[in-house]
Amino acid sequence: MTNSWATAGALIVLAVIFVILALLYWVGAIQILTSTGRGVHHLHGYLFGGLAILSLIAANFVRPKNAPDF
Amino acid sequence: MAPWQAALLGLLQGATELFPVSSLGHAVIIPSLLHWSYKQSDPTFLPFLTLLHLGTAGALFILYRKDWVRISAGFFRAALRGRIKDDDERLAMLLVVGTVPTGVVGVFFQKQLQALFASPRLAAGFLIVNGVLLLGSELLRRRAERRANLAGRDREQQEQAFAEADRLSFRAAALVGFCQVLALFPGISRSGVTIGGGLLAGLRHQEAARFAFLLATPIILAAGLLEVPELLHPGVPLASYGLSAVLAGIAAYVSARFLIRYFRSGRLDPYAYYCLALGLVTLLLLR
Repeated sequence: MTNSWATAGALIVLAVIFVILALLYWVGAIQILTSTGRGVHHLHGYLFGGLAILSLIAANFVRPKNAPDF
Repeated sequence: MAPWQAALLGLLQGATELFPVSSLGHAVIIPSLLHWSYKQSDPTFLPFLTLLHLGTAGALFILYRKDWVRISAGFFRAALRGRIKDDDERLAMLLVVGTVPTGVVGVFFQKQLQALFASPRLAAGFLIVNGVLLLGSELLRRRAERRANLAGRDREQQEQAFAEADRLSFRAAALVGFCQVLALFPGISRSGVTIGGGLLAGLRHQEAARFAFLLATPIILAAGLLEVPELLHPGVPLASYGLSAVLAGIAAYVSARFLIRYFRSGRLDPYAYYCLALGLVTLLLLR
């Protein structure tokens, strides 16, 4: 993946979207692709919370740095 | 479910989770072949599976405890720094990349897929597919050995020509992760498809198995931990199920140690033939 602030920024935006989705699943505001189609889905909330953290880590990886990667 | 049935299923699950022969497929097929009367729709069956998963994940965690300490530390170091500097950090990030596809697909589709495909006949069919996948990955590995002029050398020498797990590319780790998604179908083995994926990516058999076991641990552990509240369901015989979980853990530990030794020079072929045979026999018996 190319190291650039634009890619890092896009990943941060993605992280924010994942956080919003996590909250929506957590409070039961959305039930997209859930097995029951109703109620709260904490598991989906955890998943999007985890994806938000991974997006932030990925953003940290792709931001421009000086020294070469391993 | 009688305690002896729970104990036998624990041993079966622990062993078949790591052998490339599909634990889920066996959990669907064997009780049906033996005409056991319990129903998988019983409210205490999910807590039972949860405990078995925790037993298996615990065994894998104990077996690779030193690796997991290094991998966990490596993950946090690399994540905070935003750069990979050593093999432990690289392996940690490879495991993250390999885990995401199954995590996402599993959360969204596992219940639907298992409800759709949890019939003994379909599981037997997928077991045959699993056998074909294992044979296919060995076929491609043999081709790679011939291309590298390794044909005719002894097996351990052939294996030395291939890579260790931390040398996997990130694209290959993602591919192995997507292979793991196939294990959501009862009859397709998680370790089988991930070892097969590792072989396609150029890993040694032993390293492909190690990567598969490391990759399986967070998924199995998360599947178990997330269902822990189910254990509080009234009527769950915790003592009997707990004993089954311990047996599953022991079976998983012994199986993993055996497989790591076996894959120094062994191949997937025997497990492929076993899956083909069990799948065909099951289809014949359940006609």
